[in-house]
This record gives sequence, C-alpha cells and structure tokens, in this order.
Amino acid sequence: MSWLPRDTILGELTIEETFAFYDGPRLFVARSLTDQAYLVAWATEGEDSDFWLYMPISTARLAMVRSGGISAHRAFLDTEGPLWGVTLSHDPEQPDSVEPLSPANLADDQLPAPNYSIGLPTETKPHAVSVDEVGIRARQEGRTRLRLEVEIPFYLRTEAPSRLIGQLLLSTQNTYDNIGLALSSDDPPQRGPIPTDISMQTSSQVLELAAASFVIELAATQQDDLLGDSLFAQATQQLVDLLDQSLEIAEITTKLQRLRPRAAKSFRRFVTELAGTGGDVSMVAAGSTFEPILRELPGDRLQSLVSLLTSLVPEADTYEVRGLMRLYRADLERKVFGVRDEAADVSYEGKISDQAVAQVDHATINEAYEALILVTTVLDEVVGEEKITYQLAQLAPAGTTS
Amino acid sequence: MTSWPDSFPEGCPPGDAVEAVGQMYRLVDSSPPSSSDFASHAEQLAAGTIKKRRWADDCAAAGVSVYSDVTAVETVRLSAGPLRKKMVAIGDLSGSGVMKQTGATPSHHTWWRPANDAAWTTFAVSA
Repeated sequence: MSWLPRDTILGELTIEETFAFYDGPRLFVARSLTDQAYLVAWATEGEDSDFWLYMPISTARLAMVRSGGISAHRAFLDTEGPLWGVTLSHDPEQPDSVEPLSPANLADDQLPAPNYSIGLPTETKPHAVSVDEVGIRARQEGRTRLRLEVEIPFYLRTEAPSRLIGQLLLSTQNTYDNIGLALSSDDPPQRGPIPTDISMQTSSQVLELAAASFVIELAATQQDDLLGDSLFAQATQQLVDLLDQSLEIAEITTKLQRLRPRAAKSFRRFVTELAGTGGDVSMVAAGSTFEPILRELPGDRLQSLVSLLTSLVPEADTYEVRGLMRLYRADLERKVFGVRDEAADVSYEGKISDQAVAQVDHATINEAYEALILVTTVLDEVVGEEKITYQLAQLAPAGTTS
Repeated sequence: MTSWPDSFPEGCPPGDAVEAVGQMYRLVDSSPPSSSDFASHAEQLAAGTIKKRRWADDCAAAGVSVYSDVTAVETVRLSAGPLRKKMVAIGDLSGSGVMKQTGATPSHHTWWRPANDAAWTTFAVSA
C-alpha cells in the first residue's frame, strides 16, 4: 500500500523525493515506470476521499521548482502539459480515479501558498568528476588542468553571475600570463604587453561547467611537451604553491619576491577575485607529470589572504614630487589643477586633495608655488601599460617649505 | 512501563526512538486543539474514521508529525492546500511517549503517543 494511486492511467508510481511531510507526504515528486516525473500536491481533504494534483514535469522545470526559482503554486497554474486530478478514496471498495484538470479551474486553497517556495540546493549541471579523475584526464589528454569551484551565496542552482565568472576567468588568465612571464626569464619586463610566445603557452580553455556549487574546468590550450612539461604546467604549480595554507607569511613573501611585482600583483588580483565570490573556493590542479593537488580555500581564509597580499603587494606605487611650480590651472568646483615645473619642463594635471583646496583657493594663477604632487602608477593588466595619476597634496607660497 | 495503544504493530515504537521531551509544534484544525488533531493514521483506521490503509509502514503510521522549529512548521503549513487551513499549536511532550527525528527536515519528528496520553492537552494555538 502507499499514498500513491494504484491501477490508474498514471501507471506504477514511486515517490522520488518528498518536499513536505506532515503525517505523510504532502508535496513530493513521484516517478512512473516510464520515467515520467510528476509534481504532486495534496489538494483537498475529504471525509470519503482525498484529492491530489499530479502534474507531469520536465527535468528543467523540476530543477527550477525544487530550487525555488518557480514557486510550487505557480508551477501548478502554469503547467507544461496536462494536469491530473487524482481521487484517493478512503473506501477499500472504491478504486482510485484520475481525471484531467484545467489549471484555470483550480481553487486557490487547493494549491500550495503563493509565498511558499521549496528552495533546496539543486544541481542543474552534471556533477563534477572526482579529484582523481581530474588527474587521470590530465594524463590522458597530455595537458595541465585546473578546476575552480566557487560557492556563491544565495545561488541554489548551478548558476553564477556572468559578470563575476567573466572577471574571475579573465583574472585567472592574466595570472597565468604574468606568472608564466615571470618564470620564463630572469628579468621579465614589468610593463608592456605579454609577449605572444608567452601568452600562447599560458593560454587556457574553458572545458566545461559542472555542479555542485559552480565548477569551472580549465585546461591548457597547448599540450605538454614529451617530458610532460610546459610553461602552463609550471605556472599552475606556482599558483597552487602560493595558495598552500601551510605557508608562513615569510614564505609567501619570498615566493612573491621571486615572481617580481608584476606577477605578484596579478596573483593578488586573482585572489581578490576569488574572495569576491563571497563563499568558499576550492581548486584542483593536475598535470601530465604531477598528481592532483587540492586547495580548499574557505571564504574567511581568502579574505585574510587578500589583506596580507594587499599589504605585501599594494595595488599602486605612489611617490612624491616636490618643486617650484607655476600654477596655470585651478578649478575648485571640479577640484582639478594644473602646475608646471619650468626647470624640469614637466607639467602635472589631476585632482586637488581635500587638504590642498584652501591653499589653492588663496593662490593666484601663473604665480610660482612650492608644490607637492603625489604620483600614483597602476598597471593595467589587459594592455600591460602603467596608468599614472597626479594629486596635488600641498601648494605653499614659494620659499615657505623646506 | 509505558503502555502503548493496541493499534501499534509489534516492535513499535522503534528501539532508537528517544523519550519525548520539550516543546513541539503541530498543526491542528481547532482552537483549542481536540484529541482528533492528534489521532494517527493507525488510530483512525482502528476507530473506523478511515477505512483504507494507504501507508507501507505501520509503525510510522502509528505516530504523528511534530516539529521542533516554528519556522519549519510554518513552512510545511504553506506547502499544501489542506495544511494551509490548519493552525500552529505548541505543547510540551515531556514524559509522554517517545519521538524520533524522521524525514529530510531536521526539525521533523515522529511522536508515538502512549495509551491514555494527556500531553496533547498542553497544546495551545500559538499567536
């Protein structure tokens, strides 16, 4: 015996998953021998019989309902196909019966409440292969693989924001390029585009997306050489080495120094992107000649790593320029300035700092002043060019500063 | 020694059920709750209120659902039309029968009430 109808056109059914249980299953998924899934809800309680709704449901729609993307209430009103009403009699002499229903004829109190959602984590992609399998595939394909698994808060399906994943992928590739560049030379250029011969060796491909959480499988575009080595493999090992949780701060510092500022900053930006997902991250790296390496990176660990890397490898290089300069532009409304060091034949334009606003307000255009300029340089990873900005920090009458 | 209703099958309640204790929530049809709000399927079958045995597990059908968490019971109340008409009641099960966590929801428990149980009288519809 069971809570399911017997000897009806719905066939032989079994309960696959129960979403709501109260003195028996009340909202659940049943599946027929012919593999048809039904979303089933208790609709009416009667003295002689109970009435149930049986709605055939596709795998994709079921994933949406299960994860709360579509409420159960809406699912029964907006069916993909037929809707069946099933009467289960309390009388042993009465057979169970099935009748076609129109959603339009359903009463609201026969349905789950409009504000009720199931809201269970639901994998909508095939589950990712095991860590060992990543290693096997790397050897079979003769190329290094990297798996990134990000846990994005409040996402119940195997879905992720395009912007976040796009930035993460770009940051991953930039990190490979810059670590690859650092590994390829004793004195790698710290600015300028990544040389093509390097970027060809460090380029990666997205192979597939998988569950659980959100799994991105990447692999080197190029195969390893006959010895199982490649710049991509070396960069991968360097990357996972830097993410080893057992490293002391001094060890991280030494490793970053070896990489030089450009790759170190790129690694810091990569970790910042990982931390920006807001959840735990895990990474699996495997190559033709090295066994799979798993790095589990809890969200709080990522945040503290970002803090550490930001102090070790700050985003911007800032230095001061002082000198006697002619003020040729001052716009206090927009807080922008222009000064010229006539002796050095250099002009500076940029923002006026808050502490310098009053000084500029009392200054006269085309007069010479002792100026303090803060120069900030940031490397744009996409083009490899440094972006320089100037800020006027102080403007004093000539001869008043030492 | 606890005396169980005659409607309980042999070996029921299960050996891994624990002594019922603490405040639990149940959905009821009336305020104040009546004894019929606490009748298990097995009791109803024995009393002739229902005539058809729908369940596979007689021991599970001899118990009733209670929740330890008000949010969970409110959620299940919204999950099906007939449950939406019911009210949430809270009562103290301590010393009356045994219970066991059952089902996928951690706060869902099956409560096996002893013969002549009076704990149901402690239940009152919560605001």
